[in-house]
Amino acid sequence: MPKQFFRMIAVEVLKVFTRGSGLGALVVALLVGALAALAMNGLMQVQEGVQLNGQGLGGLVQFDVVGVAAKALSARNFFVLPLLLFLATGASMAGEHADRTLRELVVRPVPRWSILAAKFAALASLSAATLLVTFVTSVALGWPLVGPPQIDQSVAEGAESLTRVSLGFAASFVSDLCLLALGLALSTFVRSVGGVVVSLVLVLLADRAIWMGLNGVGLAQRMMTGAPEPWVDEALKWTLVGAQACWEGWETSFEPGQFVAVTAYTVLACLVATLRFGRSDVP
Amino acid sequence: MGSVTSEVPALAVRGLSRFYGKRAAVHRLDLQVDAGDLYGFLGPNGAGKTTAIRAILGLIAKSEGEVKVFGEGDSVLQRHEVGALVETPTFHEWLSARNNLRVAAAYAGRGTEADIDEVLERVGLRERARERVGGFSLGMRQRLGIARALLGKPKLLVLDEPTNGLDPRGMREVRDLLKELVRRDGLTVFVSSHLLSEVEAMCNRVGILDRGVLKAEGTMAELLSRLGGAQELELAVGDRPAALAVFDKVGGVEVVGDGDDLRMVLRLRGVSPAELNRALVQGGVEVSALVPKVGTLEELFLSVTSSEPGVA
Repeated sequence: MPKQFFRMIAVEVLKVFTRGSGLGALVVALLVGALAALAMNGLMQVQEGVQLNGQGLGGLVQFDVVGVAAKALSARNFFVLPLLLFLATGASMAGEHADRTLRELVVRPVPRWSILAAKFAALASLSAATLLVTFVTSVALGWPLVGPPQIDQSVAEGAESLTRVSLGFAASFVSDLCLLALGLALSTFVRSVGGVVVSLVLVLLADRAIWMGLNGVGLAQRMMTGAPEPWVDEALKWTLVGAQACWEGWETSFEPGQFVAVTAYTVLACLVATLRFGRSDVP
Repeated sequence: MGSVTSEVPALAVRGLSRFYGKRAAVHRLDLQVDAGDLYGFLGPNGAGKTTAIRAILGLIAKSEGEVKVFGEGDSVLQRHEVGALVETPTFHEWLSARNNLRVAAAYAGRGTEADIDEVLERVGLRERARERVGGFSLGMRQRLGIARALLGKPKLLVLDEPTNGLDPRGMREVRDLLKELVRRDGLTVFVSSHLLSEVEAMCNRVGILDRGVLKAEGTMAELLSRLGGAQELELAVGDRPAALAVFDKVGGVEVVGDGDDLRMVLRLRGVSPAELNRALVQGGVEVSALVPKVGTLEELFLSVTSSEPGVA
């Protein structure tokens, strides 16, 4: 590791956090936390008059700060923030390749893998920051607007403590790392931010097709034998969408297999990025 | 020219080639830049200069050959001593000039805030350090690129067309800065250009690349001697027949062009302009002008480079 590695990370953090995609991710993270609290507060105001399938809204939604944080987590991991993080990754690698600022780093006395590692660390810090911002905002606004944790109240399924939902945020970080590594790997093949996003969409669509196929197999087996073969469930965890959903376990229980799969994808993507970047020409 | 002397060449390139498919952008390039040199790497557009520089800097892979910087062959370690500017310098547009230099200093592993101030001062951008680079003119970017190359106090500067896009004043400032870096700070500078006048004005050694092949290399005097020792000059005299008689007497003087009756262009072989002037005066011929013709490097350049389009 070069002796200047931590300085490299520091300047990459400066770049990532001041770039449009980084700033955008932080703003969206803030909005997600705030909107979750405001929306839950609004629902709480009208819950008395609302019934779904004959059940009151209070029986379906957990009206406390934990519920706010949980909804903020779900919203945070739905599409927009992962996309912004992916844009930040594309801008950091493919974008710098395209605008030729990457060559100014490559001519410095550092091995290429360390450039990737510094960028990965900086992007990871952006992911952590967005998670922290969403969590803090949702709790800071949710507590006074919706109420403190009501652990003993018999409410919706999956009512959990604030500690448990915070573990969901931590698990989302693991899921984000996989996304960032995938973005770096794709950036070594595709040399524009737009191209990286398009290629990610294609990868996710292909993965989703596999996931749906496996689900179809599981459903067929359930119809024929009453239960799917164990390998189907196992295989579902090893799809990208299945592995990346590791954070969802905060409600019931975390599934170790998903963490193994998401970590394996992260390591594999990092290896591909390192090998590819180490051999590629830089314009 | 420079103050640094060392037996180890600052830059030694041996048998460097880079192929794109079967096409050689650079073919078996050998060159040596000694410590203290201000080496001009000349070539027409598309000759392969930038490809060669990229391969030297490790931006692109070499198909074959080796590059040593102050004797160091390891591509990462050798960059400790190298500052580089490749083509038009690129920056993070939304960051200030200072922050762009901070990025460079962090990756270089050298360079404090004081060093950043020093290089900004040197290129005349200290007052603009807090401004976003996005608002900089091309000339300011070029100067900031040179400042970035100077960060970390490299011993060897590799500059690819550093005066690209500059106005005449800017070009002169860059030339003067480079000469000062060699003279005062003892740096070695390897600078590519397609501008003959620029190279002629500042370099002590020159290599001429054409279609990926080094066609000529040496000091300016060595290269000019390849033209057969001939030198051209313009002469204006008061009496043409008398002057022609003196030419016959002196020998080695050929009239290669006429302006009017009293003006002519001469090519001298084995006789210097001073000797010719003395002979004319002693022969009673009034000499109103004797101007050595500039552009002899241009002649050499045109004689060794191809007129066909380049390959890279």
